[in-house]
Amino acid sequence: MLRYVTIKLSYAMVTLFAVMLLVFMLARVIPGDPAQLMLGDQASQSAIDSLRERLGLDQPLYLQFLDFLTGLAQGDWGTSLYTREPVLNSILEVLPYTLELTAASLLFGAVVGIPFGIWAALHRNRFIDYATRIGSLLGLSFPAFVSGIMLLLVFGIWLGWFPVLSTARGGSFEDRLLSLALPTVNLGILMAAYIARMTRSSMLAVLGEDYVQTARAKGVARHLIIRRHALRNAIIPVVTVIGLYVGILIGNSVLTEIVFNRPGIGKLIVGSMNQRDYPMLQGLMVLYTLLVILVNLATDLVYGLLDPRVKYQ
Amino acid sequence: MMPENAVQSAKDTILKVEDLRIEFRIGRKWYAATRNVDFELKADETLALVGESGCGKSITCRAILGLVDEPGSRTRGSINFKGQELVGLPDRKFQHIRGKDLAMIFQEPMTALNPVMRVGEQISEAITSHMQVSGAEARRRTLELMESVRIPAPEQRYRDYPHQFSGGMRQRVVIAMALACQPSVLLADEPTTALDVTIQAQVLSELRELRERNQMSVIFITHSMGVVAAVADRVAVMYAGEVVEVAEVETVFKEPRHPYTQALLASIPSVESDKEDLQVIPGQVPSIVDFPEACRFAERCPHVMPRCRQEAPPRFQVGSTEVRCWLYESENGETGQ
Ligand SMILES: Nc1ncnc2c1ncn2[C@@H]1O[C@H](COP(=O)(O)OP(=O)(O)OP(=O)(O)O)[C@@H](O)[C@H]1O
Ligand SMILES: [Mg+2]
Repeated sequence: MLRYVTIKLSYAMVTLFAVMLLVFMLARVIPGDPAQLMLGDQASQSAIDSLRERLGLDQPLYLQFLDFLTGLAQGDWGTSLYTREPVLNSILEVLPYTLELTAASLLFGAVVGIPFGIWAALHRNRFIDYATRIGSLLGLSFPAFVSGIMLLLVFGIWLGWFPVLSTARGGSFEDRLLSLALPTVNLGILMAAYIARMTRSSMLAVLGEDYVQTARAKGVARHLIIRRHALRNAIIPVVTVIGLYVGILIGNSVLTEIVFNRPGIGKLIVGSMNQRDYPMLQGLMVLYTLLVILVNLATDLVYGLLDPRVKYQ
Repeated sequence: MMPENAVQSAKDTILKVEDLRIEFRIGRKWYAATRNVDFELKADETLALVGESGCGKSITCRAILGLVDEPGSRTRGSINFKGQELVGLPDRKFQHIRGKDLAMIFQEPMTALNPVMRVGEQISEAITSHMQVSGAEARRRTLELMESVRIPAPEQRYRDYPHQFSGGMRQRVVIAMALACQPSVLLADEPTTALDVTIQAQVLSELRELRERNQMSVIFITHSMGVVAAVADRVAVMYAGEVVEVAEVETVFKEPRHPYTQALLASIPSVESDKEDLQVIPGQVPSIVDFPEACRFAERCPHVMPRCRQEAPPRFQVGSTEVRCWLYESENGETGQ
């Protein structure tokens, strides 16, 4: 296991290095002066010159890259063109909201998606199977802003169970939880749809495996066959897919953030794109890379725990 | 006296399969993968089920265990196990017979074990599914079983996963699972085919030993007449989903009756014969969607008569042999459809 973790960690480091190189090069291959680009059109010549010097644009590329990496490591992620705040501060301010929303909708997706996937697989081509398949197709094809508005309309306005205007910033723990509920469901539906589909097909494949037949031949009770033999195997590919979708989930959260008026990384990305806030975009790219690499690492580790075969390869 | 005899022979027969018909739905139609499958298994005997690949040996065994129950399949006819009818038995009841009194060893040791479950747990599951024993007791019995099928260092191997075992060792695990509750009937589906030759001989002789020690009746599936000679008391020959001949093992080798059995024997390589002498049966096994209604071997049979293409032959008794072939119509009365 230790060897497996070490290998996965070193893969993660290599990926991180490669993506950082890419981010670094991107600012340099875009036509025009990077300092000008980073400071925006209205910047004065003296500001540009001082930034050029600070960026060390006169130095060889590999030294510049080294500087860039040390800067990142020391928390110097640049300054936003728009707010004039350090990029890292702005990111860290909204990151918790994105993380709590992602984690909550992931949990929602797993809790709803896995049981439905199993249920559908066990009743293949019967009513519950069709219902699950149609439901997940709807969940996948419904635009997040439409479902978000519908949720707000029904549960926020008609029933009044949840706040319409988010009190996410500050507030008591209960307030935060309440304002997290609808956005979680909105984003979680997508996740549940993916997970249900994946669980169903994985479960169907596993139920046809020889070892399930061996277990039946032993006289193992049906519920134990499903839990011990089928599910324990079927869940392995599902975990991998969940890991892949977490990245997509973070990227897709912007519509939900807008509809529910929540702060978050998605909104920050869109905002900085509109404002051509290059230092902020660069910082967000670094963050996104870090998140995806971390999630992949976590997925690999869970995979290693679930499947005894991987440790020895 | 007649009644006494009847009781005696009923006692002797542990498993009786009559007119077993396993059908699959392909498109909108049902096709019979097996029909006219009739044989008996007597106490303490080994019956070999032989036939070419695809003739229906495995599904016959799976049907005996009630495992052919996927959507688009159905089983007809009768399987009588110790006086109990198994065809149509609900899965809940079947569950208490499977693995307890009626166990099976599967063809493919590489895929027959759950890859994410410890080997010891998989064996002990066979015990705990049928007996109320403590965890420690189940573990103790599992270690005993592992020892009895000659898995070295059972204490250590208990916690291993299947991928840490070789093919031969995995097959021993499968055998240990099948023997866990000392079943009276063991269905062994080509237990040695997937193993390499030296391991094959080992596993074969160990199986024989275990059978004698546990007093089981065994149905041994194989497509090799060599293995038949080594393990069987009686033989049932299958062709294209039908049992075409049932006889004592010596009789089959000395006087094979059905033309298919004769061809099968002619195709065994022997030490004395040159490779050139080997006869190959001409033609191919028909596939399940175009099995003929009449004799299924007619197209490949050297003795084919017009009648063979019109009507399926019933069972004829020739000496102690039962054979489905029109050649024996004149010899004796038929023994049934
Ligand atoms: N689910 C199914 N649907 C349709 N046909 C099937 C199904 N399962 C088995 N068959 C058919 O039943 C026939 C018998 O298969 P079976 O596995 O019993 O053969 P076998 O005698 O064990 O062959 P082998 O020696 O290769 O193991 C085959 O022709 C196969 O195509
Ligand atoms: Mg087979």
